[in-house]
Amino acid sequence: MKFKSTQNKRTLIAVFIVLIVLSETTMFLATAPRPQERFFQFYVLGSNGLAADYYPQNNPNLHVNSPISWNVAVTNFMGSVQLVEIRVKLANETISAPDNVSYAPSSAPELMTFDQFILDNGTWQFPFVWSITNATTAAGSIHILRIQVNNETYNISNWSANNGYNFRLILELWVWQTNTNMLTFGWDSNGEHRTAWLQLWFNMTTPAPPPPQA
Amino acid sequence: MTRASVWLILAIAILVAVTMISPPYPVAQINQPLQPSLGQAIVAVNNAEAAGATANETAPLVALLNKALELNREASSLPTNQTEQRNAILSSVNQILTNVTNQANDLTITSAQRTYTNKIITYATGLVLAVVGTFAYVFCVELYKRYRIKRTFQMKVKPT
Repeated sequence: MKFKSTQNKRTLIAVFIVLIVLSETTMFLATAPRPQERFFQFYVLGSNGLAADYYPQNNPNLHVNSPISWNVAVTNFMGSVQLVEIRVKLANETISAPDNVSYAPSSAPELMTFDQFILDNGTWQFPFVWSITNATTAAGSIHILRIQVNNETYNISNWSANNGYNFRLILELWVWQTNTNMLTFGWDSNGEHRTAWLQLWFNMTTPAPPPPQA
Repeated sequence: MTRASVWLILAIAILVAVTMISPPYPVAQINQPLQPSLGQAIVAVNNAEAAGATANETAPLVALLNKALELNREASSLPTNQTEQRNAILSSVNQILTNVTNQANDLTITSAQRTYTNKIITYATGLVLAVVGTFAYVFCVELYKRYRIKRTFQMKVKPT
């Protein structure tokens, strides 16, 4: 195969340039990482691992020493290893919930924290078995005094709800920020700050467990 | 009038600076003495990932980091009078974090080299494909020319 004319050589060079641009563009598109949304999934499941059956017999009216079994989970879609902390708070109806606009966490007292490093696309799931181990009634209010979570006991300084209605456990997701070396309520994604939190309501109208049926 | 606008610009500039320096959302500090080494370890692991380290490669480092957190929790739960034991645990936590940082730095170097080699191979493959495509074009053009010549010589002249 010989190219006698200059025109043929020019055509050949043009074909080569077009092919090289096409093939290199294809290679670049095939290997370049695609931009993806960065976020966390944060959820609580019931005792059966489903988004149901959070309380025994689906009755959120609890008594002292009635154990509740949940599974708390966080999935990391941030594109890198992340350090997360879950803060568990006990609140009543009047205390403020976390604010998604001002990124303020709940002002409820913090009971405990759970922290873990999670791989990218990894899920951290742990059992959260809790029960109220001491509560009293005073002046029409129910006061929770002690709570047990995963076999650890936490004393609460007189936390009450009117007639025992509308207590709630608030779970907040805090994330380590590498630029400030601190844990932050929420995370930054595409120039925006986002927060994730959960709350599960329960009542304790009569602290004492019902008498066993004959 | 000019003075008022200058003051306004100055106030806005100060507000912007304060907002940029302090994040508008609440922050909390994990165990104060651990913070710098923990921050360094996380940044080192993130750098390794950015350099192309796979999840299989970073998983052992994450396991070590979780071990460090566990020990840190253990140290925090000790009574205040057991200072010696707490310091011993915190020292081993620091050792783990230093190991993680060093391993992550090594991983960053090997991952970056591997990513670079893969990139070279990818673009070289593109170049080879372009050369093969050019030869294929030349071959096809030649075949077409021969076909046309053959067809020309096979033509029959019909007497009118």
